[in-house]
Amino acid sequence: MITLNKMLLYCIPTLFMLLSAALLAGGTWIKEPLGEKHDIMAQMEYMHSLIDKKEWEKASDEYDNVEASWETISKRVQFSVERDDLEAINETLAKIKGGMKQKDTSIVYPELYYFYELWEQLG
Amino acid sequence: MQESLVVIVRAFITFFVILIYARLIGKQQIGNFTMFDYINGITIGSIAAAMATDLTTKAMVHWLALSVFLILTFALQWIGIKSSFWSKVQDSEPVVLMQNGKILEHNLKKVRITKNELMAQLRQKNIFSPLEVGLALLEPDGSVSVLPESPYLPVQKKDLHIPYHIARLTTEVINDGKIIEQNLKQRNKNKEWLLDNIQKAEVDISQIAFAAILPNDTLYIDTFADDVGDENNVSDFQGPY
Repeated sequence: MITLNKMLLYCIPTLFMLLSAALLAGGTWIKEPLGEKHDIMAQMEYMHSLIDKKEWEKASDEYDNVEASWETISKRVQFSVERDDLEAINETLAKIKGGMKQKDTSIVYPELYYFYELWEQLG
Repeated sequence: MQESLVVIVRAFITFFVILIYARLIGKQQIGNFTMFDYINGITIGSIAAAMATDLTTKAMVHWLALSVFLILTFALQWIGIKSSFWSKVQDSEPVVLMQNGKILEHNLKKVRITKNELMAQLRQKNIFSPLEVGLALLEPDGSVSVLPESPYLPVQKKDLHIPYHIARLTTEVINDGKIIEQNLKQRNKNKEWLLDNIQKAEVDISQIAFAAILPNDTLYIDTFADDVGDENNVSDFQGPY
């Protein structure tokens, strides 16, 4: 007969392994938005469309939302992704911000597409 | 990235992962430490260290490598049990280094052991003359087992026809004032027997740090109060403590 102690002996390590694996390997789904808030891809695409229309002021406002979302998401995914990937996203976001300040699409567009690629690979 | 927090979480996970994996691999890793086991252990430790602290790579990658090592270790253990041929391939076989007091140079060369190393191994077994060696074997784990020549074997009780008792273990029955009932049962004793013996020793159970049933079925009692002087202190001068 399996006693409670024996069951816990197997259940606790198994549960620990499963939860740890989920935390360390779950980057691809942990990065996804948990609700309507922090949907960074949607925010980025909206910002992209504003830049297309040269509406720099609005795009800059939307950038603040993107930055806030990234702040939250990066804390969530930091356990399962490489530090270099997080730093690359920080870097490209900073370049996008600078490019928008300069209202220079030749800076912003390459970084936007680089961001999409980084986001796709993150996790 | 909150690097300190990430390292704490990864180190916590790594610690318990290697604890679980080590328990799964079992005692063989420590008891039979061949060269392969040694290198395997170092590699597993190195992967675990990277899993905890190398933030430039995903922790999961290292976990996967650890798991592969665990699975391969399991597989080799299983193959070794099932097939004596593969067991021989994995762990090699004992090699005779000395026989009837003679050093087998050819075998020494084969296993790359010098005569000095062999003599050192014999001395560690309390054998100071090669003539005393009946058989010396190099085991797969690198240790040397020695069977002394018959005249140098220790005298046994049965050789002298001295009556002997069946060998038993010392069984702990009290630890820090608490009775270990499971062990009492193991030696077919009960609480009454124990309390009776404690009473005879004129101590209270709460004063007992350690008590055990000895192989001859008597009770050994050690109290917290030791009443031991400083006459055996081997320190030669006044130090910081």
